[in-house]
Amino acid sequence: MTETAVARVISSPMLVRVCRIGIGLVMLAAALGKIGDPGAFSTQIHHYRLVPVGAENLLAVLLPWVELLAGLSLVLGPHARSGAWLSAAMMAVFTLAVGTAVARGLDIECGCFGTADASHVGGMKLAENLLLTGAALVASLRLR
Amino acid sequence: MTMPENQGRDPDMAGALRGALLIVVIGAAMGIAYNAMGLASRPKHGLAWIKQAEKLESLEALQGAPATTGAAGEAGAATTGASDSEPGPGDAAAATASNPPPPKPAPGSGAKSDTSAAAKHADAAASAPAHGTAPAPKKGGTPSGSQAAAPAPKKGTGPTGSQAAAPAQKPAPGAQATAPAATPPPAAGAPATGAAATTAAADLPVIPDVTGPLKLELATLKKLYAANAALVIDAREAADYADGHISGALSLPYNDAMAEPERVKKLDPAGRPIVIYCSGGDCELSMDLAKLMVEAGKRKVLVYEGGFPEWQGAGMPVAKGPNP
Repeated sequence: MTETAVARVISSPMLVRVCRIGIGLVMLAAALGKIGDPGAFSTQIHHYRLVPVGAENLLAVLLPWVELLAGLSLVLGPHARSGAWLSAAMMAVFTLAVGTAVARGLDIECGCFGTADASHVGGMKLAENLLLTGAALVASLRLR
Repeated sequence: MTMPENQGRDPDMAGALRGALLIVVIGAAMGIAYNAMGLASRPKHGLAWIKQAEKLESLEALQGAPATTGAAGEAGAATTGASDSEPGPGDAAAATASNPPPPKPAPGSGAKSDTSAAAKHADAAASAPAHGTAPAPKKGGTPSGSQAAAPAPKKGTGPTGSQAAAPAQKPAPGAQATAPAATPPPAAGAPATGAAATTAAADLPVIPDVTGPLKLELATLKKLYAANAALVIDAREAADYADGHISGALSLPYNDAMAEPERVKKLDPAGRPIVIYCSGGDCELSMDLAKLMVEAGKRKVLVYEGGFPEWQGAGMPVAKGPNP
């Protein structure tokens, strides 16, 4: 398969739409898991030791709602590309956070879906996040 | 790799970025509104806007004066009483290898320490303000707290490496060789060394049996350390521990404790309070580990906020390497 053919597949409207819906649902699930218990999410942020303590609560309060709107925009359609760009940016930051946690040998809860998911950071989670970041980038492509 | 029909200028890009900004602004506004409603509701369920670093109650403040001593009669029991934690032979036997107590050289006995750290410790113990005599070595061999009343055998050398990990007395059958040498409280009326130990115990601060962790100052830690009346734990990473740690402290990195809660549960302080430290300053590992300890049912958990830098700066005994 030539490079152009690969590009054509990746940017196919069907794949872009599937990615938008998929990433949108992931964002919605992540947001709802965090909105339900912002205190627990704040603690999960704390475990990464990447954010100043004073900012942890603020991040725990704001981030899930941005995820929620990004997810809604992806699933429902309006501003889908905006939601996709935002999702890609957030996924890139999350991937970096998980990557640094793995590199530092931390064995902490990912916090990816708030308290709804007790999975820990690790190689698998890193791969999962990289995949989602890629999918979010595909979702951000312009529909032909 | 180029995308067909997505090459070059993307006319929608500016609009997409504006939309992303709009989502961020509206999302932030919704988050703020939701949290504000939570804070205004009764009972309150919102988060404080700015998270405050947790402040621990000070042990010294609870005692009424900085680094004060407890009443002679209650000090021993209050500090090293067998009622705290959950000591038991089973727990003790299961304790991990890296759990020796702080070194307890015997300056009074004239025995020479075989390490510079232990020698320093001996000096510190001898010069502790309220100790007329250096406390007797208390290397309770059996991990069981029930042995507390038995006269402690003398051990002139400071514990290093495997020496430190080995119990001074015969271990209970099945006990791992690495079980910590439980330090029993000084026995009332014990001969010779017992009297010195009692003097030391009389000088020890009273550790109230509160549910949460407390912080303690260097002066108080010095007294506990000199009397071997606390289990000192280093909450930093193993590499930091190897670079230098409080002599005799055992390594239990917070991350390891998170990953293996059993290590915390099985930790047996042998009736002593647990003192946790990290790198001082903004370091929160000691506080976080202290919380884990409390959640695991440990009592009399103390956080030494000054951490290793303050301890080292005060010229107190330090050791290097992976062993206590």
